[in-house]
Amino acid sequence: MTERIERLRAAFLEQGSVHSSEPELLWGRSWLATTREPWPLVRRAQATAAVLTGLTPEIGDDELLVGKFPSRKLTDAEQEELTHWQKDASRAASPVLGQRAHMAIDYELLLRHGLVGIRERIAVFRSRLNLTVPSELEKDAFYRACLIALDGLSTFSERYAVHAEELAARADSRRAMELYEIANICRRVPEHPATSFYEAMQAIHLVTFALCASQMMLLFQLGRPDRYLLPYYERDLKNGTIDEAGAQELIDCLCMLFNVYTPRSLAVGFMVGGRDGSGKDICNDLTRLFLRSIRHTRLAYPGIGLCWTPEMPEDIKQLASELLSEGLSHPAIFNDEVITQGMLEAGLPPAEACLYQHSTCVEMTPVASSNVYVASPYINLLEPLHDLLGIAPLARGAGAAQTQGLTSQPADYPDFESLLAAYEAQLSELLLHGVIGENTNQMTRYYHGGWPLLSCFVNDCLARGLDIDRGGARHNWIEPSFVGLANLVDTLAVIRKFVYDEPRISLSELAEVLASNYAGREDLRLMFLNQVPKYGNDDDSVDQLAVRVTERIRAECARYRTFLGDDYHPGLFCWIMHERLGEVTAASADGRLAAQALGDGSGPAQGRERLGPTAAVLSSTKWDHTPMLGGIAVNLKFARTGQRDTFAQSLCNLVDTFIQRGGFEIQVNVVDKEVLLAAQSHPEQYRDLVVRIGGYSDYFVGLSPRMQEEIILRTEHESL
Amino acid sequence: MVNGIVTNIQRFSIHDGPGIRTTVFFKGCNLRCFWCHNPETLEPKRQLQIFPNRCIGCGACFERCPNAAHEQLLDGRAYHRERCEACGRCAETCYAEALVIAGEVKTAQEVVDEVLRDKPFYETSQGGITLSGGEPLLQFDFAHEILRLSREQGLHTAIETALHFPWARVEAILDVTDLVMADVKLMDDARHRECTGVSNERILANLRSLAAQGKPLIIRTPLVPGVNDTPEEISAIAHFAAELPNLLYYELLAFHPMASGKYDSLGMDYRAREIKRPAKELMDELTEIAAQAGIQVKHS
Repeated sequence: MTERIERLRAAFLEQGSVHSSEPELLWGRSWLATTREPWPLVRRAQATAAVLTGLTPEIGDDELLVGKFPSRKLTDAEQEELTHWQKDASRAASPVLGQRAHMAIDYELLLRHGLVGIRERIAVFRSRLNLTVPSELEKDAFYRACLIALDGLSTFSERYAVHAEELAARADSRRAMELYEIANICRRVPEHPATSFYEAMQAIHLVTFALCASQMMLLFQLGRPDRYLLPYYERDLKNGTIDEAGAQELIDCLCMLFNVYTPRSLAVGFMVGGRDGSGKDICNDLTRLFLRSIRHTRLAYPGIGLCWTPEMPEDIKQLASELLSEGLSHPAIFNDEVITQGMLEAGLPPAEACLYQHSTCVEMTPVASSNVYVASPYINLLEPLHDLLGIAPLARGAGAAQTQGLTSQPADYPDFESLLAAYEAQLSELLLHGVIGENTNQMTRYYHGGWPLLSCFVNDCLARGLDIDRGGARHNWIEPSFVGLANLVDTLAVIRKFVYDEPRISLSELAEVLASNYAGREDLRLMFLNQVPKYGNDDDSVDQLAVRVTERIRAECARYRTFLGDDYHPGLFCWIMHERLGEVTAASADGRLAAQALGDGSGPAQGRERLGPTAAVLSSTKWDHTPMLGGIAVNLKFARTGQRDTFAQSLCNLVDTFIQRGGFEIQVNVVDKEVLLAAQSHPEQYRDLVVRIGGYSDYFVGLSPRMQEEIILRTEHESL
Repeated sequence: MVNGIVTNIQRFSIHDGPGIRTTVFFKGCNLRCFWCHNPETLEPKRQLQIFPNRCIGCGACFERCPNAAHEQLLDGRAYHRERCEACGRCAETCYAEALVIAGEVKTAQEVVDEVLRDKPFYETSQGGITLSGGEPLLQFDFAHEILRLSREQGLHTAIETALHFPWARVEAILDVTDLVMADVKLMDDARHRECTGVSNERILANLRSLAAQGKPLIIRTPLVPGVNDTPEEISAIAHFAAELPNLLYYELLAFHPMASGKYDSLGMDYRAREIKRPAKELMDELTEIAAQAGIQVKHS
C-alpha cells in the first residue's frame, strides 16, 4: 500500500464520512423556482440539474479521484432557507415512497459512449417520435427531462475541473501536476468516452456520486468493475501509461471514497469474478487488484462480493481465504452457479444472468437494467406464530422488562401438522399485507416519482422512452426478506416435541409462559433450548422444517406480481433487522428471551451451533437456495488460530464445499473474542475494527451495546 | 459389533492431520501428564462433570439420584463423588447443563456414521478421521474397527497416540492407519517418569520402529513452561526427530491454561493451574532452534 492510501485512510478515520445538506437546499430552491413548469418530470430534472450545478466541489489532499460531499457548513441564511423547505415547502412536493438506488447502472454504456453518446441516442429516439400520438408526446417530455439532467452532470464535472485548476495554482509542484491531470480528466469524462484506465475510474466514480448527490439517494453499486474496466487497464499496460502499482493506487482511492461519502451501517460495493455468458470464468488481474484493495482500505466499505466458481484460479481462492483468515470482513463469497441459475429461472438470458449484483448486502439484481426494490419489506418469521398464540409484539425500546397478558387464547390445534398449516396461512396473510404495501409504493412512484438522470443509465428507459419509476427498467422485481428462519424452525421443533410428541405443556400454557418472558420458568426455557435439536447442527428432524418453510416462502412469493407487472423474489437475510425485529418480539419457544435479536441470516441462531461450521454448512444447504434471489447470508464466525496458513486452507475447503452443496452466499468473520471485549471497553482504540453482520460489514464500536453483545455471542468455531 | 467409550466427536478439526477432519476422543489413558488439556479423557469410565455456574437451582438432581450423591443443604448443595456411579440420571434432567456425563459408549459403526456426515468436506480438503484421546490404542479393537470402516469409505485415517505400548500393538494398527501423530515430551527418562508417570523408553523405541516401517509421522511436543521450554530440551527432541526418515514435520504445541475448569468439574487436582501459556516470542525462538536440526517445524 502506498503512503497516499495510508494518509487517506488515517484522514477518514479521523473525520468519518462527510455529508451535506447542500443538495437538499439546492433541490428545494429549484423546486420553488420552477413552479411554472407544468410537467413534474421536467421539474424534477431541473432540480437534479440545479443540485449538480450548485454543489460546492471539494477535493481533498492526496485524492486522485474526485467527487464527494462538501464539508462546509451552511450559512445561517442557507440554513434558514433549508428549514423553511423541510418544514413547510417540501410538503407541496410528493413524497418518495419505496426504495431508492440499490442497483448498478450501465457503466459500460457510460464508458464506451460518454454523455455525448447518450445524448445522441436520445436524439435518435426523439427523432422517431410522432408527437401527435399522446403517449409519444409524453416520451418527448421524458427525453427533454433527461437532457436537462445530463447537462447538469456535464456542468458538475466541469466545475470539478475548474476547482482542480484553482487548487493547482496554489499547490506545490508535485500536487499541482496531479491536480492539472484531474482537471484534464474531468473535462474529458464523463462527457466523452473514456480513453484510459484513470479516465474510466474517474468517470464511474463521478457519475455514481452525482446520482447519489443530485437525487438524494445512496447505495449505488459499481456492478462488475473487473469486467468493464479491463479493456482500459490492458490497453494502458500495453502502452506503458500505467503499471500495476499505479492501477492499485487508483483502485484503493476509489475504495476509500465509498467510505467518505456513505454513512455508517449501510452496505455498498461491487462484485468481482464469476463467469461470462458462455460459462467461462472471467477472473483476471483486475480481480486480484480489487481483492487486494481490501487489505489496503481495511474499512467497512466497499462490500466486495467474490463470485466463486469451482474452476476459478487457485491463487484467487487462496487470496480470498487469506484475507478472511487475516480477520478482514471482505470479500463475501457468492455462488456463481447457483445465482446464475436463479437468474436464468427468473427469465434472464445467459448473457445477463451472469451479470447479477449484490445490491448492498446479498440481494440480487441484474446489473445495468434494474429497478428492483430489495429487502422490501422485512418480514419477521416469528410474528405469524406469535399472532396465532395471542402474543402481542413488544413496544420498541422497552426491552425485556415488559410482560403482558395474551391478546387472545390460541385455538386448539389437534396435532402439529394443523398448527403448522395455520402458521403457513398466517404467514401468507402477513406477506399479502407486505405485497400491497410495496405495490402501493411502486404505484405512488409511478404517478408522482421520476428520476430522469438515473433513467439515462438504466436499460431500457431510453429505448422505451419511459422513466425508471414508470416501468422503463427491464426488471422491476420486489424482494421481500424473511428474518428469523432459525428461530422459527427451532421454535416449531420445540412445540412439536413438548406440546405434541412428548407433551409437557399445552399450547395455551406455552403462550402464557412466552408472554411472561419465562418468568419463574428458567427450567422450561433451558429445556427448550437444550433438549431439542437446533437448526444448524446437521439434524434432519429440525432441518427438514427449514426445507418446508423455505419452500412455502418461495411458493407464496410466486403468487404475486409487482405494480409494474414483474416478479416477487424472496430472500432470507437481515442486514440489521434481526436486532430491530428481535427487539419487538416477545420470548419465543426456542429458548430466546424477549427482545433478544433473532438469528442473523440463514444459518443457525446465535450460540446454537454445537457441532461447528461443517454441520452449520450442511444444515444451511439442505434447502434450495436457487430461487432466493432476494438474498441469503450464512455467517460463520471463527476464533483466530495460530497456524494461519492451515486455517486459510481449511477455510478455502469449507467454502468450496458450501459452494458445491449449492449454498448461495457465505461470509466469514475471523475475530478474537478478546479483541471484541477490549473494543467494548476502549472503543477509541478500535475505531477501525470491522465485523461482519447480517449480510454487510460495520464498525464494531459504532454498534449498539445490544448488537455488540450479539456479535460476541455468535458462536465461535474453535479450531484448536 | 465392537464398542468403546469416547468423550467427544469433534468436527472441523483442522490441526490434527491434513485437511478438514473429525477427531474422535477416546476415554482412558495410560499416561498421566500433569498438564493434560483433556482430563475428562484420563479415566476409562463414565464420569459426572459439574459446572456450578450454570446451575439454576431447580433441584431436579436431588430427586433423580438413586444414591443421594446430590444432597440439598440448608445453605446450598453438596455432591458426594464417592457415592456417584455416573448413571447419568441427574444429567438427563439438568436442562441447564450444569451436570454433564463425560463418556459415551458407542459402537464403531455409530462412530463412523457420525464421522461420515462430513464426508463432503473430507473430499474437498483431502481430510478424514483422527483418533485421539485419551489413548486410542487402549481400546485397540474399537480403534482398529473404526479406522477399518473409515478406510472402506475412502477416508484418510490418522491416530494420535502416546505409543506407550509393546511394539506389536502399535504395529497391528498400521494396516488401517495412514498417519501417526505422537508426542515426545522429554528426552530424559527420569524427567519423563516424573512428569507423565511412565518411562519414555518404549515410546522412543516405537518411533524408531515406525521409521523402519516408513509410516508417515508427525512428532509433537506440548511446550509446557518449567517442563520442556528450554532450547536444550527442544533441540534434543528435534535432533531425535531428525533421525526419523518418515517424519513429515515436527510441531510445538503451546500449553494453555484453559483446562482448569474441566479439572474443577471432575473434582480433580490440577498441578498446572498456575502455569502460563508460553510467550509467542519463546515459541518462535524454540521453533527456530528446532529447525536447526534440519527438519520442518510448525508451532500452534
